Amino acid sequence: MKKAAVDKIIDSYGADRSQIIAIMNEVQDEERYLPEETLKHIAQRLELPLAQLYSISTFYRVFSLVPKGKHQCTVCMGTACHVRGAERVLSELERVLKVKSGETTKDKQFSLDTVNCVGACALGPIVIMDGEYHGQVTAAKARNVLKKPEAK
Amino acid sequence: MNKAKALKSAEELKALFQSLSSEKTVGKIRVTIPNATCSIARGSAGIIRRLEEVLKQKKLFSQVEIKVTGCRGFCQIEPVVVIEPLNVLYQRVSADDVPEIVETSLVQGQVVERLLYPVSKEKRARTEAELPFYSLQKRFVTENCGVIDPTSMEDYLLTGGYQALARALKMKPEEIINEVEKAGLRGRGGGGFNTALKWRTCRTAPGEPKYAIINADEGDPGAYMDRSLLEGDPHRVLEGLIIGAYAIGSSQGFIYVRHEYPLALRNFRTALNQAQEYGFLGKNILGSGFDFEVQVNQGGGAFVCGESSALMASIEGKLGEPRAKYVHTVERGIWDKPSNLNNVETWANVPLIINKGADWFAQIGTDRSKGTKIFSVVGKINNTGLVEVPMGVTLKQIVFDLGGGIPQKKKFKAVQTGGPSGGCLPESLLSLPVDFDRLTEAGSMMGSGGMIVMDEDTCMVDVARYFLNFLKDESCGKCTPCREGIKQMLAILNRITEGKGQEGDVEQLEEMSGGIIDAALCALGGTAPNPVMSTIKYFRNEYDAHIRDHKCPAGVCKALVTYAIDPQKCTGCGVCLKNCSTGAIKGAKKKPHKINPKKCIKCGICYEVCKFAAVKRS
Amino acid sequence: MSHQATTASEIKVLIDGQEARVKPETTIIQAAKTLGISIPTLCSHPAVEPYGACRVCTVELKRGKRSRMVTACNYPLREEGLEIQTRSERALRARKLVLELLMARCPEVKILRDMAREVGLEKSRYPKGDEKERCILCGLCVNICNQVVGANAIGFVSRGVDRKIGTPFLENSMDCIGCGACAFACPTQCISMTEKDGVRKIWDREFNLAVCPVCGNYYAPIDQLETIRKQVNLPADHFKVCFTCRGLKL
Repeated sequence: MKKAAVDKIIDSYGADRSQIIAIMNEVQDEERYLPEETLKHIAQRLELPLAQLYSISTFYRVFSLVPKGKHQCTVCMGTACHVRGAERVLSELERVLKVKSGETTKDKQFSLDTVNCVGACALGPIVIMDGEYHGQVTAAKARNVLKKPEAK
Repeated sequence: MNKAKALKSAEELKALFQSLSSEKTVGKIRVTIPNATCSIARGSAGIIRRLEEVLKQKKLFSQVEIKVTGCRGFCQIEPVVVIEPLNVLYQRVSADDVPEIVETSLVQGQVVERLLYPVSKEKRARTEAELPFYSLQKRFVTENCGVIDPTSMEDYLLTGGYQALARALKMKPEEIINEVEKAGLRGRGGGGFNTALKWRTCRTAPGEPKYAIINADEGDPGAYMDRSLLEGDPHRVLEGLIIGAYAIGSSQGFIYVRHEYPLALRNFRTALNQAQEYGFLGKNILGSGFDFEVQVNQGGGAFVCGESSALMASIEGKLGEPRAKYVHTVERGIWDKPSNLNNVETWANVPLIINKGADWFAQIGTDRSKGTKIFSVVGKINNTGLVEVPMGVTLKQIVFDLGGGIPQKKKFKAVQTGGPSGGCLPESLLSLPVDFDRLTEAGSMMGSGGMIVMDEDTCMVDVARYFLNFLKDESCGKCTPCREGIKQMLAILNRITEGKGQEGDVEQLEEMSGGIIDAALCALGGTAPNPVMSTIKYFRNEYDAHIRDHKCPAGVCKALVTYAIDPQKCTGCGVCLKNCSTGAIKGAKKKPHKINPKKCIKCGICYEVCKFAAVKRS
Repeated sequence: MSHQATTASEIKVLIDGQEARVKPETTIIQAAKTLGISIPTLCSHPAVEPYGACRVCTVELKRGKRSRMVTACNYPLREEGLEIQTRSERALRARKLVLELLMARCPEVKILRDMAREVGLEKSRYPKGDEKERCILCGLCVNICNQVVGANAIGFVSRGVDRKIGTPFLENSMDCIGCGACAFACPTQCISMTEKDGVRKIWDREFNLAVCPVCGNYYAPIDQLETIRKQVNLPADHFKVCFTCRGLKL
């Protein structure tokens, strides 16, 4: 990502250290992950020791230091979804995509992750596919959630 | 549309309110469509689009007001459409229903019967008031949710919005704190701490500036009332914050919103900008001399940041690691300054107390738990949603009267309250009134209000394992008892659910719990043993079955479960075979099929798709 | 609920039955020291702010009838009438739990076994972790690097059970000055630092050591000396001679 683009984001938050999470989030939205060079630049601009910025980028789950897949598939593992069978949904998706949760498929098409409750419990079990919420997903229906992007 | 002009006094606010009230559109038909996170997931956006299309086609667009709102709480029946003055509520609406709704209800003023909520086989409810889900509810804090457009300042002003602020700014800060104290408000985020005491301690603590913070990091899985409030009525929360900040003497506020709530964040940001325009934020608010600004901070996907000291560290731009609170954050918080942190729902109660008075508030609820509480009723329950009831209503009333009981007529087993810090309560305790203290006495806690209902198909040992796994994922890792202790407790629970449990495992879990509770740095670790301890207390038989008999009575733990096809019930339709991903099912057409246990990965899909209940799980 | 700080200049506190008189805000560990009572700790160090991570120093605090478990390293004494038990049943239970867990994590670390023996614990019942693991995540290395040295060369990486100490991107840390304070402070000697032929190796980097023109010994990494010299604004040749020989000069 061009330094100018990163700087624009940093400046929009006033280069304020207390907004580090928001800044890194916006940068990550552009690039789909946080490259090492970009993080080094952010550390420099915010006058943060690199070790501290690296700590932050590995502490908060929302950040990824490796490129994510083209499509983001997230399974909610909140208690309500769990009780309705979310683990079976996750197992099925892991089987179909041939990756474990937290990994990206070899062809870089899909990233599979879990999230601890998005607060849409009436719809559980929930799978969020590229920002779109799919409710009442069962193990049998799980693969359908993945089909949508190609069908479009 | 009035151009926003910063209001300089309470009198100007009153005048604006009066002018808006008189301008209110009379004669138009109003169609209200909740369009919050759950509604959108169920297709409400499509309904709104279709409605706009159809109205334009029929040239009715100017006669109808479409009000897009937050959610009304009854998530199970979303998408919902409410029509006034016809005064009817339609449930589980789809975009395809729209033309009929327009023709029948908007043009002809008639009711579309099939879209009404069926209260029983014979009766259908016409309005919200007739729904059992709303029967015991007192929707005071949530009164605007699902009624007003959360992105409209005018809508909020029309409900009397910001008049509590105007009134408060004419009171002395100490008077406001006294009023909140008389009302008996306690924190709604789980701690249940005396709000007035917290405010007073912050106010008198040495140090400037003081900070007032909204904790919107709602992390308890299954609890989403804060999300609903921020999406549906953000101004209410903001108004509460400004009043509290004035009482404390704070000129800088923060809101910390978890990353997983983008719509809540967006709507709150909109409210902030509007409040700035109208003069409810900034310098010399309503001519009172009081200045106040609010900064928005986002979470990064860390449950531990819901803990006050971790949240404040995160706002400072550091790791969300808690610290010892021997000196409370009200004395030394963000950047070591006095900081008052309250939950979203707590702040939302404040305008209510100022408007209606402490005496009114204190007559709702129980002796030591005043007011209402919003509960999220989720899991194995018919009516999933958010209910607001006076404290003191019983678990039974919430689960059965409001929640509508267990789906598919299955048997109730337990209700889990208080999130990962709470516990599971069995059927024998259903008559417990829900408030801050009664559930704690029974070994759980009310927490932030999440209630997860479990039935006969829920394995309680698996539930304990689930919570430990959740906490292991979310532990910051700083202190030994939490990082290593939860890991070892989980290892034991994993063994038990895999059929490798040993005699003495339960006793070891009990022994570890005492030490972990005493030695952990923060409440995440300190309350981690609770779900384990409460399930051991009330469901010991399930632990014994797993350990001694290598059986999972609820049929959940994969290693202890076998899937088999009942030849008597199997029609040989082959649906299970088609869906089996490992080829474990074999059988000829119209002949009973069989599952090969060696190939079966116990995914449960065959059990799910069989229409004849021929697949048995034991 | 934290009670308001007292305005008195001295307060009395009872520790294991003995009375100590200390200034307000003194920690329990400091107060105990004045009585000659030593409370075991792993992550506490006089040069850094108390971190409160290991929880070994957990003690039982009584205020009237109510009892509470607190860590001695960072609990500030502010009121009169407190009674502290450093080896009560609950305190020992907490200490045993922590040590038993750490012994499982780091099976070969002697200091853990020694501390465990003092509370009557011989071995750990938990499954043994990697024998090579020596880090107990006390955080002293990070805290010293940040607070005392000011180099901020290492930090905590990831969280929860994956938490570990590391350099940025787990590569050479360009902020490291090779001072070795982290290795000295580490209670389990798990930070590797070697010196050979005038070169110090630590955190995967090599630091040339300065040679004293007077005695001919290698005495400190050039990077470290330069960093400190610039930080404190000292003349260019200030650290040319080693500390011992400087002391011998007039």
